[in-house]
Amino acid sequence: MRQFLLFASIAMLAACTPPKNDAYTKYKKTDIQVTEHTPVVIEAVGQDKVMFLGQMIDAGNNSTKGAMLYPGATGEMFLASIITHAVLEKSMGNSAKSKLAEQSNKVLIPYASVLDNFSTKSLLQDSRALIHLDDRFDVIDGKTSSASSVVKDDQQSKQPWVVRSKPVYFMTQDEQAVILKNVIEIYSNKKQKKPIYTNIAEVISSGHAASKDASSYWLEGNPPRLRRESIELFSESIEIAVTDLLSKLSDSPDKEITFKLDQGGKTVYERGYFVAKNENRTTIRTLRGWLKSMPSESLIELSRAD
Amino acid sequence: MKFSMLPALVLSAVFLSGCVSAPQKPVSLQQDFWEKSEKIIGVVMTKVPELDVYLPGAGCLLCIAVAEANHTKLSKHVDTLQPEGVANLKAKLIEILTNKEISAVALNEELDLEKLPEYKSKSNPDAAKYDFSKFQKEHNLTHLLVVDVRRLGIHRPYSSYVPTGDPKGHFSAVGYLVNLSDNTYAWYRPVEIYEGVTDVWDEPPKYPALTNSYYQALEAGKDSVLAAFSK
Repeated sequence: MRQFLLFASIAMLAACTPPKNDAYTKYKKTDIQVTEHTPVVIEAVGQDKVMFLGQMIDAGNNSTKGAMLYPGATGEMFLASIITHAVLEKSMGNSAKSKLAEQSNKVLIPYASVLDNFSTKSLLQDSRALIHLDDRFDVIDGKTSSASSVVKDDQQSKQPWVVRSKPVYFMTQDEQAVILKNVIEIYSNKKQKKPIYTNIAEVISSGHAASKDASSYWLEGNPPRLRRESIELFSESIEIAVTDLLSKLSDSPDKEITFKLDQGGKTVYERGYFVAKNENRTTIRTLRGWLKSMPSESLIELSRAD
Repeated sequence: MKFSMLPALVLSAVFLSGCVSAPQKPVSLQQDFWEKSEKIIGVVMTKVPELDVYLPGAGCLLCIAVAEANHTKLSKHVDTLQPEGVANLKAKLIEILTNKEISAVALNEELDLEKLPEYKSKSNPDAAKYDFSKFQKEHNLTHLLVVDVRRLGIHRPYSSYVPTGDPKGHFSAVGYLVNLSDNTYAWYRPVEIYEGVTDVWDEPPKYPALTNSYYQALEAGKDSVLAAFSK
């Protein structure tokens, strides 16, 4: 009997396999009052250069079909998991994983000239003009007040809020779309250790019409479209996260449906519900609470619960 | 008489192997299928299965008990998921066929394969396993399109007491078109979809990632059933 109990316990424990990543970004939102002229600083954590990766090539196993990385909770784990594209099946050896990651990143070769000069600092600077937060916030620079938003007298006594983001961009393998996955943490003052808001905001670019030469599309203009679009995606991700924190998204979990998305020529399914919709963009909340914003036209079919 | 074990074993093996029928291989629709003579296609579905947690490989009774005990919370959650749109596959197929200007009839009955006579053909490997001829007589059809959804829910492989992989969203079905003039498959497609979770799956009570995987498998499965006729 004792042996049986021991064996049964082992079997039970074996059923709870350890997660592949130790953790993932859990959606967390604290109800909080925001007063007028609250200063807010937007930061980006990461490497000097903006992180771009090629969307993972399908490993031929339908369990990873269309899968991309879900960033981890801590900075180190987040970066490590990105670099190794840790979402691959356990059955794949490490060398196979890195080979696939290397192969996936080849899609970025035509864009090296843009990406080599795309710093995280410039991403923050250039996105500032595009980020439109709630009127109660005044976006300021971390060190000096911004030209667009002069620090008011009463701000000086206030600790600024901090919107800390970890943006990672993915280019789809058909080069039709760029996808930003941004882990966002919001602190109501700089000294706070625990964020009042944590989430992942995923923003998908408007895929361009099928073209034989996708690179000329992304490299067009000065600055190139790839850079312009990346900055817009970043701004959108910050805006939707802050809107979510302020409970200004229309959450209706009872209207949960399956979305069928055309993501860079690939069909992707996601379960969730609408939280915002306009002519151009639609934002949904996934079952984990993460936010996903996409061009409205890329939603090609809906399967309703009823 | 002296009893010899070896011939007895060989004989048993031959008998037992005779009981195992080879699985039906997929059959593609012939390219000119739609252009050939006029057709009247009846579309029918088997009963949509209830959602379940499938634990194949947990062979013995005790293994099943242990495996099921490990997944009670998950089973409870799976009971809340829905087979969304599965029952609508018939209507969608009718729509697709009608758009191709093919006469298509929805058969309201729920097909119970066990109630049909078995059918065997020694010469034709694409002969249907059941005798569908009654549909030709009763409904004046040339072909019968069958959608048989077999499993919906979550799948986790086991080896006796131990799970050998993480749970995945699962959709299992087979679709086939029977030529009622000779009871053979004009088209046969098994659909097996397993959608995994990219990171953590064990998130009771709502299992958001695994729930997402189930609905991904469901949608991919439905699309796969329809795909052959959508082209």
